[in-house]
Amino acid sequence: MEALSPESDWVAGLRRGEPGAFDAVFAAYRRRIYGYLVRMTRRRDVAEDLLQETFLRLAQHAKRLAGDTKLGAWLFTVAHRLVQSWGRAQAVRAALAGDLPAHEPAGSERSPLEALADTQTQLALERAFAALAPAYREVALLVGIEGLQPVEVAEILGIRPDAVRQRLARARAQLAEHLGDHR
Amino acid sequence: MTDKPEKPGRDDDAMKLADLARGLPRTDLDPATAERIASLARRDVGLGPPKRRTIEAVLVAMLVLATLGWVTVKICEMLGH
Repeated sequence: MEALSPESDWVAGLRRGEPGAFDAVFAAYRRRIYGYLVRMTRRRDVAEDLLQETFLRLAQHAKRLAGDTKLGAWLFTVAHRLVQSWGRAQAVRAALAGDLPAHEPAGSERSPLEALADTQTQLALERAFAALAPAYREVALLVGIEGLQPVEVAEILGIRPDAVRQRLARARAQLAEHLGDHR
Repeated sequence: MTDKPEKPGRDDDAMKLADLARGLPRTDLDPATAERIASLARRDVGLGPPKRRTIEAVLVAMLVLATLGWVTVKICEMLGH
């Protein structure tokens, strides 16, 4: 008989409304989801808010999860939609203010993410990822950092796997261009 | 002889990106913030979506229907002249 993975135990626990199952999922995924959110929004405060909203939605949907739910894909899908909503709201605010979108780093000051970089190479890498267009950055993060397959990423983003591969290729080319001598 | 099946896994772009991504600094929440978020969300486990969200949806639907009704009446009035 095939052993159940911890993930299926967690889903079963969530469906029964067990806070312990929620804690296990939070511990397993919080860093990954936060990393995605902070690199997409480029702001720690926003990433924290969106992380909270992502896990609130998991808690509120716990009893309605399908038995075969893949929690990683589910959480990244929610996080992706929250980032999209936040991006739209930012664009509207920027348009109303007659300003540039506020989520892109400005000037030569180090962003909070860049402050984490210990070396020039890390700093260059962080800046190269930040310079990618959000659609390319998102695919690069989900595939490159999270190790998801293009098919999984396609489901999360609601696009075709071919489009994911295309964005991957462009992200890689743009990163190579940005990195130059740092590679 | 049959073709060798395509190896399931990551293509070249994905592997190169993964190599690059390994060099990025790690990000994480500070423990106090993580605990605050976890405890806030934990309270809602299994409770379902908040009623406020349902009420908001009903109110928006009513507003849209009322607006559509008003527009329809106005159009009918204009066509009546």
